[in-house]
Amino acid sequence: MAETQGLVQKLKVLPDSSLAFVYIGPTPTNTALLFISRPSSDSPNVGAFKNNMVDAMAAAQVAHREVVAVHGDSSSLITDMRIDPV
Amino acid sequence: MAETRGLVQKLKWTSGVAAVFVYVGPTATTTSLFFIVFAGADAEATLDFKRNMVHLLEQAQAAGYDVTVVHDANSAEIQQVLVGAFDAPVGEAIHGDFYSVTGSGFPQDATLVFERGGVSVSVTPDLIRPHLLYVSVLPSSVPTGRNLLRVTSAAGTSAPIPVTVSDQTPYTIRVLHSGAPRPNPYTIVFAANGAIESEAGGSFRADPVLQNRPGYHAAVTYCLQNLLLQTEDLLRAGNLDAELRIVSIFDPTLTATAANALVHELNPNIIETRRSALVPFVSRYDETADIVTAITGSTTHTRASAWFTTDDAARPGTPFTYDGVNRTHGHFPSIPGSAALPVTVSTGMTPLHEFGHACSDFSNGMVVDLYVDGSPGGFQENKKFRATAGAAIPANFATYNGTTYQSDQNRDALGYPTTWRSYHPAPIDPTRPNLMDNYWLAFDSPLRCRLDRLTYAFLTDRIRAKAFR
Repeated sequence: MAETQGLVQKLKVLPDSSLAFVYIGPTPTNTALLFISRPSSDSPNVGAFKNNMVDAMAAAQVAHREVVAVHGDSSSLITDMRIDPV
Repeated sequence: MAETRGLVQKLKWTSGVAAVFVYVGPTATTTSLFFIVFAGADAEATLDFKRNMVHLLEQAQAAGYDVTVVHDANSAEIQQVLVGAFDAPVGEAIHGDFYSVTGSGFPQDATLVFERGGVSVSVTPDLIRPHLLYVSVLPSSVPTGRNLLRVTSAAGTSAPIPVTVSDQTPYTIRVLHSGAPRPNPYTIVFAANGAIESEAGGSFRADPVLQNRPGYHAAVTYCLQNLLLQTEDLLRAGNLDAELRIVSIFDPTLTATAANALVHELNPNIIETRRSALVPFVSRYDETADIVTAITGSTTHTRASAWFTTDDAARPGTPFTYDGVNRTHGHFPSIPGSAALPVTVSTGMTPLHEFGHACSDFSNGMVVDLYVDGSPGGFQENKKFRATAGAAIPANFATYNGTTYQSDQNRDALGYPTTWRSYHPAPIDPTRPNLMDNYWLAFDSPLRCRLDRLTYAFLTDRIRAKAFR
């Protein structure tokens, strides 16, 4: 697994696609585009967990706090995340 | 689809229609009304993402951020919500702490202007790069509470960024620039040293730097200005520094233990890093460093020093040739490069000089001091030796990656002592000492000294190999 760390520069929520796009990076013009997806095959508990990650991204964004998004080495799908202490 | 951008002026939950009404506009009395419906026919996942949208709108409203709501051209029902894409403060704004704002195209006369309740306070950044405005100490004159922060310059004024200013305890871990948005960005950690190991070894005392946060901030600031603003542009060329992660660790709770001792005193007045302590120390703060700069308050041992990186040979690297020998710029360190600097550092090119050592590698090319004739042994990238003192210096110094670099026949403006066997690569600026030589002897200012051409190419490749790993 890989970790991408930085500020949440942009967050876009698309309910009809069950998606959230998360732009992480040091500046608004230097970001990696990652996403949180909740396919219909997800169980309710897994789905709730993913939506909770979206909420955490939103909270980190407005607090100017870094997040660490965990994703596959060649995938932009966020599977886990951390907000480390300051 | 249409997009409407503005502040979230009001949110209203109405149970009868299971909808949230969203009032977006520049003022409370000038808004457009939108809504999000939680429909009975919605799938569970759709409902949860709609809840996420509402949460994001709540957060944006509380923080004073602009939002962009996406809706059909003929409908007020929100389909998507977007927050972001403006200059970005890094962490909270706290009196007495570091403060950074990131963005793009910041001009050299950029100033941060905080405004609250009709009070406006301008703060001049201590370091300005196109992507970064850095303040060493956020002054207490900035009002606490919600401020609107603007970046002003002769070129204009940015859109306001809502920030909350407080006088709480400064952060222990302060990200000064979060680095490239990729796994494992090249990371430089500045750390206030917790404990000092005595010359004899095995005994530790508290490092006074932990009682001197203002001095620590001044030292970090001098280091950053030295690394990023002086004539030598090793880290600045091509905006390489926009890719670097820069972090400060100041933990006033550290006790005088071996685990907290990043430095060791050496006779007569040298302070060196304790390499074995570096990785465990920064790991405690969730950081992985390529370079650790330990700032110490030792009053007896104030001469800076550095240790080379030990690259991890088991992990990937970028191959190169040096005088026909195949070698590697390792992408990852097993032990980061390191430098120990006194908290009083405030003159000369010491931070960048020590960085030059620290970012080189023990096995694949040490960048060594040029102001002495001696050798640490092993492969030195920037120093060779004649058979006898005073013998002719070869015209060519070395061939690196197919390019031949000349020797410095004159040791720039200093001249080789007649007893020396060593000689150096040709400098970029032959009128001033090499940055790895005795830059204090520059005829005008040490701050104008540069590297030699070979070392510049070598270190640029090496840092880029790691920064883009």
